[in-house]
Amino acid sequence: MRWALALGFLLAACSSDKSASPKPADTKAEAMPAAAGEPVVIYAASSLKELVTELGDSWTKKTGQAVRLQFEASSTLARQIKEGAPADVFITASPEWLDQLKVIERFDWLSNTLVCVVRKDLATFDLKTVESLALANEQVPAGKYAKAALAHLGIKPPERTIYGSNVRDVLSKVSQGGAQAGIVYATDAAVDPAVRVAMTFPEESHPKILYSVGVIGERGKGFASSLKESASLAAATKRGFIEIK
Amino acid sequence: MKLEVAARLHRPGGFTLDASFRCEAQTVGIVGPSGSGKSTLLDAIAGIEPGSRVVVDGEDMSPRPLHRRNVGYVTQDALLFPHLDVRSNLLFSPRAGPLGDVPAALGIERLLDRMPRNLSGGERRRVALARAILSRPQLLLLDEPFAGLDEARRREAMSLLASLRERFRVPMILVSHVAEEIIGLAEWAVRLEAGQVVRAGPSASVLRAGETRIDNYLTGTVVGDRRVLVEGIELAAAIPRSASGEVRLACYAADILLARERPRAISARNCFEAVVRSLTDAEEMVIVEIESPRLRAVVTPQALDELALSPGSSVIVIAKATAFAHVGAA
Amino acid sequence: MNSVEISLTVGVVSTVLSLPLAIAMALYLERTRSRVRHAVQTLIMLPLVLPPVVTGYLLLKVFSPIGPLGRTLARLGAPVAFHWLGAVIAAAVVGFPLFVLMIALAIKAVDPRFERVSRSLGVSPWRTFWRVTLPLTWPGILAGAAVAFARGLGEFGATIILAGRIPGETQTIPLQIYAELDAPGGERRIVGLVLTACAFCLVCVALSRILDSWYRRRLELDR
Repeated sequence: MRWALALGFLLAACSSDKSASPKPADTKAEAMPAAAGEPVVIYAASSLKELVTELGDSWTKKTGQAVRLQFEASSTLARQIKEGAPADVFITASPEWLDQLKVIERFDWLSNTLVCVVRKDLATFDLKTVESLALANEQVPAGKYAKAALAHLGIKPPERTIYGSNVRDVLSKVSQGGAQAGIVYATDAAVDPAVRVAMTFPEESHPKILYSVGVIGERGKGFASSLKESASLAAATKRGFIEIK
Repeated sequence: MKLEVAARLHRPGGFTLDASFRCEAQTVGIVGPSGSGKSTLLDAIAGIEPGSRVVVDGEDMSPRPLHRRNVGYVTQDALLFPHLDVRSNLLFSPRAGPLGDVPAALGIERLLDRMPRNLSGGERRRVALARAILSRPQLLLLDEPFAGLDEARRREAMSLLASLRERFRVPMILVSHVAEEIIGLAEWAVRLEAGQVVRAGPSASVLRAGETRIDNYLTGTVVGDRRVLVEGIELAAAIPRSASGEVRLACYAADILLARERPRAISARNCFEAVVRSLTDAEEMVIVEIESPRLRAVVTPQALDELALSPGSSVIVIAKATAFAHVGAA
Repeated sequence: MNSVEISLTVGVVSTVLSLPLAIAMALYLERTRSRVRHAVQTLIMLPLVLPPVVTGYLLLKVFSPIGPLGRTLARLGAPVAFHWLGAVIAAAVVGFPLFVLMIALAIKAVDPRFERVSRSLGVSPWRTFWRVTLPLTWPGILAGAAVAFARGLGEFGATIILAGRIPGETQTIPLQIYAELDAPGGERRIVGLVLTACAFCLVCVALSRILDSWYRRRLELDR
């Protein structure tokens, strides 16, 4: 009986290691279009969830190549990729997270607006006197932008500041009533029917919000290029993202 | 004490107790083989198991929970509270008065400051008994009080209980799987088998063939070399040469012989005339109660016929000196 | 308050608050013959086997600030979700099964006939608990409290879902460690915290073992 248990533990311990080790890059598919069989793995900032899902679907319909999507805070994803996570494409909400990674190519893609949201049923709101505020963790791009915006406006975060691991987490804190207000992107506010935008932060109050695309694996080249096409950009602007000129 | 019991209990596992009886006695015995439900019946009377009807001296105890029934329950394992010393154990009951002469009566007066773990088994039992008595119970329930005791200890314990009963005037219900043990103390008894009452009546009548080790207890004064005066009769008894003053003697009913005529030459050193007080039918035998001294003898029905004994007839009692064993000081 | 202070106060408060309920539950499981006992026991054991985030999620549903209970509690000045009380409740709920289990073990070791004898001597069941059961089981109860405290101290999943990460209010040691792991340079900052957390738990477990063997000896010696 004890042997079975020990063996079981051993097997469990071994199997959990597999996910951490990176798969060797598929060097065969050098300059050729990606083989229809292998899915392209895309890591993207959580604020891009609906847009990238839509674009991923149309990519698959067009080329037959499957996509695997992962949405999290850019900082979290960057850490995972550094530790060997198998991403082919990495779309971050702040370019600096690409600086530490080995990329085949990179380009700046979209921008966004920083807003403050509250629950729809909150009648009046003043950021200076808010009781509780939800922000993304400091190293998350949205968290950095929020901190800068508050500092620029001379507003000190209230004593009750609740932190979320990514913008969507922050959004849910507001709609669940965990905080009176939260700072997210305008595109996030559009996604949750329970909240409304109470205030928009002026562009100069924070560093420019820049979504950057990094191609990490050869397989990702095709999809990454498709993001620059006008059809993709149209889909983005329709959701509230801003084209960069 | 007037006692009325109607116990109906069903234990998961299949055992069912269905025992009813009514009696008027100071000490009641419950006998039967192991597993017959004796302890369960006691639990029912105590109120540990609800659902039975119990009426004591006209008071219906049935609706009352255990802590309001005012019964003293003494089990085989003394169950002294291990975290309290003997004195605290004795005075545990909120109904307990001052210790008074109870510790002395039970021979535990020197143990009051000890912890239960430092007492012998016999000492623990006596403390448990004292604790129960001190709680001023309406009724004492004793579950197998003589279990695990050797002959001499058992006789001492019986003798002690008898004296306690006289001194503190508390009705008792005794449970034992050794029927003969009960007869010495109980006037009335109930025999249980498989959860049912198979016989109830005066304790002697509940005995079976083969259960003839009934004890007689006598008190007397030492008047000579191993001679004791008991209720006006001088008996030769097996007491230590050094014994003096008041002593308690015990002898088995089976060691008492009855005759119609004085034997002319017989080795037995005790031979005296007495009067038959009563005859009680037990299964396959008859218990003859003798007057002065108070003794029980057991004979077969045939012997009874041959000797033509009846209450009031005079009879010769014969017994060896060794039949009368010394139990202790009175 | 820093995360160490928060963790300690949350741990102590949650343990103290769940103590009477845990004792009551253990008594119910060990000393009654109720037929629904087994169903109740399964329910109590749930937080032990459920993933803590699931426990946290269920608690959030119950105490949601936009739900009726949450709103009432907020009005009464005792909001739970996303507040300090939420951290307390998360710790209490996940520690409860172990707490009950260990107290039940302590009670199991005491012969129920002692309590019966006490009642036969005229002591009510309530007073019997204080005069007999408790004196014989309190080391075991304390051992359970130490374990429940340690478990509450280490709770992450339920805490982050129900109370969220609010520095100064709900950010317990595990929550701070988790946040720092993602932050650049964070690993260096949390070395002290990690050691503190380990030390607390070691002390609790050791204390629990000592109390455990002590009360066992106490009872055996006296049998």
